Amino acid sequence: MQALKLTAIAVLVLLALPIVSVFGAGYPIATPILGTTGAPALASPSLYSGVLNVLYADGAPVVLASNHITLNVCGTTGCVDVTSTLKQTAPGTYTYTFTPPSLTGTITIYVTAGDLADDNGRIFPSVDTSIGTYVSPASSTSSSSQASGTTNPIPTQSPMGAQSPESTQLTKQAVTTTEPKQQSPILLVVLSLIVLLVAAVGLVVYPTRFT
Amino acid sequence: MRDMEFAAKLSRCISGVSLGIGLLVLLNSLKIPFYLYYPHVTQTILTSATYDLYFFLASSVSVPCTLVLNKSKLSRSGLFGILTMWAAALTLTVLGVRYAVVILYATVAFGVISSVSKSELRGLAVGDVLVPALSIFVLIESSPLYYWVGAALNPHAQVGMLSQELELNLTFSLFPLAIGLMLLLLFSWIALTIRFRRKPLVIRYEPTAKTKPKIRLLAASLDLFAILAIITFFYSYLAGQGWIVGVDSYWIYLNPLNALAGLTPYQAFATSYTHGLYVGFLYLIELATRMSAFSIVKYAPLILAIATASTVFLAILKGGWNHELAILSAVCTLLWLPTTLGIYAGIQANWVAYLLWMLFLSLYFRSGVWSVITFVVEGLISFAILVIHPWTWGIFFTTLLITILVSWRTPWKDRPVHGALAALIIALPVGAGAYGVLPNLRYDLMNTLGLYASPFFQPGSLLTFGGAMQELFVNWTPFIPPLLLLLCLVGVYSLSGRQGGARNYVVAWIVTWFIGSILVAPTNYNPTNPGLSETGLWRMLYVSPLPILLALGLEKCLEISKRWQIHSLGEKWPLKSHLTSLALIAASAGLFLFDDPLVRLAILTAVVVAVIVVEFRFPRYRTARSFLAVILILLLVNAAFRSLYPLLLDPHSLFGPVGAQ
Repeated sequence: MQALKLTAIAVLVLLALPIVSVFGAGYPIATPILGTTGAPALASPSLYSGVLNVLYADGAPVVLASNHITLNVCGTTGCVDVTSTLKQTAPGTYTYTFTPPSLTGTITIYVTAGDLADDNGRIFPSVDTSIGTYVSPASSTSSSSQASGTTNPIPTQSPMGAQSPESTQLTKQAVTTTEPKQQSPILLVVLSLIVLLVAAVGLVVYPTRFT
Repeated sequence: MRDMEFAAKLSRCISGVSLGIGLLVLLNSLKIPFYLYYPHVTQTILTSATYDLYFFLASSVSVPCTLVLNKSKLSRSGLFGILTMWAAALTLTVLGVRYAVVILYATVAFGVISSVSKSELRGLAVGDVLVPALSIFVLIESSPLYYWVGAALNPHAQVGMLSQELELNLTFSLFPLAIGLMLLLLFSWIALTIRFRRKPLVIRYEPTAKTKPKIRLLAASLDLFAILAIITFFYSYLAGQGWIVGVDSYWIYLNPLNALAGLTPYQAFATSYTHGLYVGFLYLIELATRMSAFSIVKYAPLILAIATASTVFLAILKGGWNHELAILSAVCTLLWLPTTLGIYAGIQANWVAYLLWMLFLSLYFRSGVWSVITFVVEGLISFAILVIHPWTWGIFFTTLLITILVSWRTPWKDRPVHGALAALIIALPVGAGAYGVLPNLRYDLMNTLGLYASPFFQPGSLLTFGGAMQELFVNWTPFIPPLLLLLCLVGVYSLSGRQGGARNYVVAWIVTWFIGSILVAPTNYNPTNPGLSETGLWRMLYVSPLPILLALGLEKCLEISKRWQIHSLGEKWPLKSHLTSLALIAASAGLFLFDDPLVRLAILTAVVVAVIVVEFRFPRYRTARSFLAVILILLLVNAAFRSLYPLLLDPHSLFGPVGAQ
């Protein structure tokens, strides 16, 4: 009887659960956070340079397992893989340089999903992450770039193993460590304190006055 | 005689100090490994490793004192045996022998047990021991509060890290047991079902909430939920962050909502297919309020948090459980799942479905007598869940079906049948029609049917459950602190002693969570590449009954703590009993501000002495119970802020395909 009951439960759940939504990816909180300081800039006439901050979610600096990185540089016409070397300048802060490929217009630089690893072997980022943009003029002399890859179509797949179809299209944006503040923090704190104070007074008054 | 009582009480208090500080020394010596973002080992240092150890050694003098005071109740050989063991352990610890601390701590614990068990008023004796012991943990649990506030205002400053790290190391010392605790929770329905069947089923379900509702208490409760929701929500924005936090906030909600600009409501509903029709509802709100899409998506979690806590509160009350449990359940909902995970992941449609589910439950538990209006409203809510988040509807409906089975041949068998019928009566025909008419919804359904059919075609994938569970405790550790899981297990124990329709429903909910977890574990999990794949187990965690089990566990702990006080004072909790706790919370600011071991030692000593003085001067204050309540709530608060902290540095938002931002 008990076994029959269990079987019935299992069958009911199996029937009900197929009605689901397609899930995305890129949710885990344990993945290290990629950040940037400033935008990539020309370090020399044919060399772009940028700063990459790599932190754990608790703010601790990440030590990378390798100083090699493959950047996916994308323009409107396509993307090019460019290899670069990372140089640690402070705990969790790395600089990268690369020779710009022959792309024009607004160019976005991505760290490909799974391209980095920390010294514990944790692979990240979980989705392609944009680490900056720069504008390349049409008359750019960088057409003779030393990009290691060939021009590819805009990527639609990430090396994520078995993923749902939507997840392959997701990207993230690395935050700048000097994120511009759009609101006054003091105003927010004062507002929150007023709300909390009023609510707390109500909390104290209600039970004592009326019980 | 009075001197003997004084000496015995003082000895118990010093034993308490020894137990408290000794636990920190013990955990620090064991170096327990745990994982939070990256591998750690426990470092539970309150002042400095040396000072903590000396403090423990000095306070362990309570062992001989206790034995001497109880010598008439112990055999001579037993007395000498324990004294010898204490002296040996003390010497070995001083000599630095590894694991000697374990023996010394065991000796102290044995001394406490023998002292308390021989006492005539055992409960009060336990209280004497626990007051100084718990005071140390109040200090440890409250000092991170200052860190969280400081971090919210300036995330990159990281001032007072030591306080946060000590709390983390202490509470995560149970990490090696975390997977075991989770498995025990998942399988707990077996024990609950067996126990249930053994009981005579003669007690009729009579909701206690039939008494006249205390309006002022309700208002105060809602006030509390609003405070907590505001704190939790604004925590991620206090530094003036200009973004919207949450993984799904942009690509699932804000971008599709912006894409609907300029469309008529009908066109908007026809095109907003992602996650049911929730984006369409957001669009209607945008039209009605003239608020910007950005503000609507940003502030939705604040509204959802308050509403969810209120409906959970209502559901628990209507389930026939008491006000305290209802308030605790709502607080757990606000400070743990689903609120913190909802804010982090930005899964608003899922959250709305959960909210509607709780609303359904408050009607379902209320409906003692069948009524057409309730039946129709329940049907409408079920339909809304189906179109807003179909996956949650599957869990919701399955739980109702399992409740029928769990309640079979019990006095509560009719209500789940009515509930299941109500859930189907509108959802089945209209929902099927909606999926048939709207092509995008149909595509979504077929896509996901294929996804979930995979375990049937590849039954071997179900064997990856163990790996997926391990991955859960790597990727989602901040949301599942092991200590909270332990308290949930206490909640399961509390649930086993209850009867009624609400109890049956929670048991059925655990069954659904169990089977759902096994089925969902292989989704998106790739055992050959666990570092980059993502198990869907956290999805089941979001809709699990864990917040209610936690509330039951907290209530059980507080119920047990009633034994540590003088009963003649009645059931009320006078404000005076909390004054000591408030003073300790204020004193813990010193631990946040000062890293110097000597200053920290001075604070610790002052606090312990002050607490012992208060215990002697005002023995009728329920300090131990108040301390326990404060520790339990602070555990929750620290867990909530720890899980939200990453949002201060990064919104964790995802965007669309490359080149489409």
